[in-house]
Amino acid sequence: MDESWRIWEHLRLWLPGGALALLALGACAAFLFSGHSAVGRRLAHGCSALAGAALAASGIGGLSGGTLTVAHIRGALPFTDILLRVTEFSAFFLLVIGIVGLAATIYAAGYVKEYEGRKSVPLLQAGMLLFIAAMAGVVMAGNVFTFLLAWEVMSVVSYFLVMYEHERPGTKRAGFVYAVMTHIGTVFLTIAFFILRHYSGSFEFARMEQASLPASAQSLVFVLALIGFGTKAGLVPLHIWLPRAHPAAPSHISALMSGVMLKTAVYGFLLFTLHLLQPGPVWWGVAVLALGANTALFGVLHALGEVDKKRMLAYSSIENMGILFMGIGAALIFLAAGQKAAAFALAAVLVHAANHALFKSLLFMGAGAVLKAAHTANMNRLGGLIRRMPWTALFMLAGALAMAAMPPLNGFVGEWLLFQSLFALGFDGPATLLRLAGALAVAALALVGALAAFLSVRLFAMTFLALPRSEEAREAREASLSMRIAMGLLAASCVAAGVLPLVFAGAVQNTLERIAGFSGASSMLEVSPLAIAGADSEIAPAAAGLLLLCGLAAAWALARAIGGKTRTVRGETWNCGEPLEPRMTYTASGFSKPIRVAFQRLLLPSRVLYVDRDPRTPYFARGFTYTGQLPALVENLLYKPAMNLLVAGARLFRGIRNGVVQSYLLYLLATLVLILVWRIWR
Amino acid sequence: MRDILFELLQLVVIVLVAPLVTGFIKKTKALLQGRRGPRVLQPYYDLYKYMRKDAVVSKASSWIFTATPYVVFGATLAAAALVPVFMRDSLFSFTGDLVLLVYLFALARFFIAMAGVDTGSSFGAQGASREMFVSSLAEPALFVTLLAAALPAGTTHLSSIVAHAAERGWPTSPAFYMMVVAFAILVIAETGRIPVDNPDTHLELTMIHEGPILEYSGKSLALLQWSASIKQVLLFALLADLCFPWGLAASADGPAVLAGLAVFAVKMAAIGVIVSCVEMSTAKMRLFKVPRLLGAALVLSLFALTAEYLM
Amino acid sequence: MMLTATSVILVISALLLVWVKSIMSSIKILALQSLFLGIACLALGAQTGSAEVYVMAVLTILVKAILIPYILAATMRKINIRREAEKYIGRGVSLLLASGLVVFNYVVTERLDFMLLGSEIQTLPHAVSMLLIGLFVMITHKKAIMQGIGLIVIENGLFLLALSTALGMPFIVEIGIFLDVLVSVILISILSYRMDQTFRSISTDWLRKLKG
Repeated sequence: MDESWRIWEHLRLWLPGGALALLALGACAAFLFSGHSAVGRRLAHGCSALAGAALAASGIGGLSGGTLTVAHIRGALPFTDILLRVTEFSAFFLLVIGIVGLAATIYAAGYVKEYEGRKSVPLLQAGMLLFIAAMAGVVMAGNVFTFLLAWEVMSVVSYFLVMYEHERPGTKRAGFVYAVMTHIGTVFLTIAFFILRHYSGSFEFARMEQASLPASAQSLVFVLALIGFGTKAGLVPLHIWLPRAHPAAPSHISALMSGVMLKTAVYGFLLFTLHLLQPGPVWWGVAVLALGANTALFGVLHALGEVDKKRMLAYSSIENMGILFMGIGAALIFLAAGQKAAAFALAAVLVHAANHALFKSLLFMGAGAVLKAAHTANMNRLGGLIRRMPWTALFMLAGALAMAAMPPLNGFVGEWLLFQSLFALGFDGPATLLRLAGALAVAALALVGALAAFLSVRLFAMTFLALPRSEEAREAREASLSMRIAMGLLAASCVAAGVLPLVFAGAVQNTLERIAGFSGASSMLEVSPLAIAGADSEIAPAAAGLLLLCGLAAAWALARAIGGKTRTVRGETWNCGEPLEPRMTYTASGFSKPIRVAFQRLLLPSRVLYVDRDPRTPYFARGFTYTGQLPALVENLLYKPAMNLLVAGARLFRGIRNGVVQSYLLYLLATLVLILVWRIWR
Repeated sequence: MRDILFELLQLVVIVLVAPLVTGFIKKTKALLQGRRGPRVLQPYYDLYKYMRKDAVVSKASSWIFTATPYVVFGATLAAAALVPVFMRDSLFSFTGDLVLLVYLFALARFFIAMAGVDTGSSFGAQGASREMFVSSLAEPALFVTLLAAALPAGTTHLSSIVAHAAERGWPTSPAFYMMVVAFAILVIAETGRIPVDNPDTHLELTMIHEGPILEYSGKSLALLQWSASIKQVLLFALLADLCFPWGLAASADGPAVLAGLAVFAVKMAAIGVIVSCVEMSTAKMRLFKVPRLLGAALVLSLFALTAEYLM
Repeated sequence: MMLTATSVILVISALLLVWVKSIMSSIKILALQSLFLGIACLALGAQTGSAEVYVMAVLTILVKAILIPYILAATMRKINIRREAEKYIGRGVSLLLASGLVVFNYVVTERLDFMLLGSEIQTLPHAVSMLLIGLFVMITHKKAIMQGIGLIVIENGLFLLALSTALGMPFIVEIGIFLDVLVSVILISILSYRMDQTFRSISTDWLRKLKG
């Protein structure tokens, strides 16, 4: 027993570093063997899969308590060292990174085959490995520079990955917007870090935790961190890069970006507000709650207006990040008031973050499989794929059910926890106004949840059900084995995480003590293998699942008992006597039309209907062309005017350089005179 | 042991009584309209008839279409296991709370919507689209109303709310009545009755719930109709539990249970009559006016909540 | 004393540069200015006995008083048109402004505290005045050759300053500066000639489009 414990202790220490080393090794192997594509590819994938498993294992290991210093390389940079450590907090995220990384690697094995011969596959793989390593580095960073280094590597590598298919229209612009926005965020982060350093005198996080700042400085750092991490997380109005970048990248990269990279932003923000800063005033939580609700609603409404599947999933990621920030806001409000329910809210955020990583990655992978099979992501041109791609359809169904937060899958667990935290705010909030805010937040979450269900139905139904709407959809083939295995793995884990909430909620319990920062935190959430309890309520998803199955069986039994055996005959769909044509089925745009109409004040949709009339008589029309779209509101109202202002100002300055040599000399003389004047004034 | 038996009985009662309630409402509406109307037990005969018929399934549909009725019935049954009917506690109350209940209904709706699109017909898809639309607008109001109902008990656990509410007397605050009205509007929206939807017709303009199930026949149709009736009874029972929870048996002894059953019957009848009157007196609303109605419900429940906070 | 007197003469000659109209006259004034400077440098060399100062004086006379004016005059002869120095502002106004600069400079130098002793302090304002006037000449004249002349005036001012305060700058620096100035003037001549070839004029107005 002792022996195995010691081995485990050793493993715990070496696993994270080992994983990082494996990833680096794999990247190098990919580069070195870029000529012999098969060998390099297998090596890279092998390293990545092993590393993914190692990361997950190190996550589990880290959860058992204590901070492990993985690597402390002193003097690696001229003025600071590189410090990598695993706390319970980072361990949770390592677990998520590991699982999704593993699944993405398995998926990539089959997915990258379509790039062979056209593009350099080893580059893509090396990029993916570095990306995973950088994300792991971000959550393992122990001081400012390691964090910023890993953050930058993550951003830059993902930029290149987004630009991988640069020949496609719109990709270059997507990469550009992404690069600009992410660096804007990094600037804010750097400033925040330096302010903290100023007051704490050290670059290490452990020291910063103990420093105390004056209230105004704390609030400033909070706002800077919110903007910095909000840009990465896709909070409105800093989200404009997300709907462009996520669809442009190859599908397994989109899965990684949506599933994991966004979570690192949550990690960073929680690191700031829970660890590096002392508990702040209530308005922090209210601001975050409002921002989160706004983002969630914006995300889901715009997702319903999209017909490109990957863009829709990107907007759905924005929505889920909004929900997560609503939970963080509730936690901050509780923390400011010193209430224990904060721990419960934090647990909700973490569990939902992990679950979202799982099902969003699954959905992106499925979208990638469909894209590969039908060569289009436009839902109006898909349909009927459930017959051509039955396995993909099944796994996507699991993903869609999870996204809609249907019991007994994992999306429901996270959603339930979030609901309960907001209910707790509504029941026991520190002030009446805050309780009302909690009630409004509940309404917002309910609306977003229901619209997300709408979104799920639309996604699945328009892609897989009814009749195929285009030639490519008719000819689609099932995804390759590795892709199916990866998707199956994630789908199974979605079901498992839903039915056995122990998986994530149990993991979170260990970290609660540390991250919530007060004792008794872990008792706010009681997790048993089959049930979760907390905040005076409980659910047993396993029992619910069992009930469902029993109900299903009961239905069949009842039908048989009452009606006896009956036959089923195949016939035509009733269509007022006409034969059924693919054009008669609803399109994705039509399916969500009621939402666009109901929310038109928020969405401002534009529609143009052009009627091509027969020139001989105005009563007959030869054709109708309908163009409808949702304008990019935030870009038009915020970013474009800001950019125009900037450009106009720059143009004004450009007048200084007018090409006349003498004027330049005049500048010189004027400066000289001014300096002399200034000198004598002093 | 007796507790378990009686609580299981709750489930059976709901399942068996559901078509009766539907028939009762139909009969009441007819009488109010001056007609004789179908007999009260007609839904049972209809279900039996459907069960015995062969089914025709569209060539365009997939396994989702055939699986949906079973999933829907299963989900509705699971929801029924959560709701107290004539006893304060339900057998599976540990399984979940109000949130799980709402989401079980959502699960059923999810599959119905998918089945609607699966057949490839426009009726089904239109009905599915509208169904999801109306429900997405009803959910926020529903949750706020549930929050208002759960506020005195401080928990969303159904049995606890019922137990807590049964202890207090008849509430006199306006907050309570606002909440009741809001809840009533939401029950009408969720059960698909006038003015939100018309459950008696099959015209494309007036089907929200009927649209997706247009293609079903035979056993599947029977299961779907039955599920709709059970959902209706559950929502009525929920209304009764949260707003008028007196008369529920606190323990599992014979007289209390019988009394509980009787009170339940009375409550269902009362709600049925009220629903019939509402259906009689208004016409079905245009689809894009429904958000206003549901918005009004949301505002009412917010008012109710605020009033409760301030007291 | 000699240096102070020379510096006054130099400032006056610089102001004269602002006044004259023809380019040939400007070149002649420049040659005279450099000559005076060279002579003053010789005297200083005689006073201190430093070989370096002698060499610098000789170089000044050779390069700045003879060679450079010759190059400039040769260029002017090749160009052969429009011997007038075109200015942006009239000669009266520009003389007024230049004088104003000189006065301003005196005021400033008055207020500034320098750790200098004796006669050097009297040449300082003159030297800086020459600098400012040279810059002014470059700004107000349109023709390229005048820019070269202005450059030489600036250089003269700096040389005077270095001479009076520190007996000249380090030798190697001085050599370097001479070389720089020489090359600059050659470049300006070539540029003027090419401009004349291309535009039939050496006004820098034609170069306005070079702004990238």
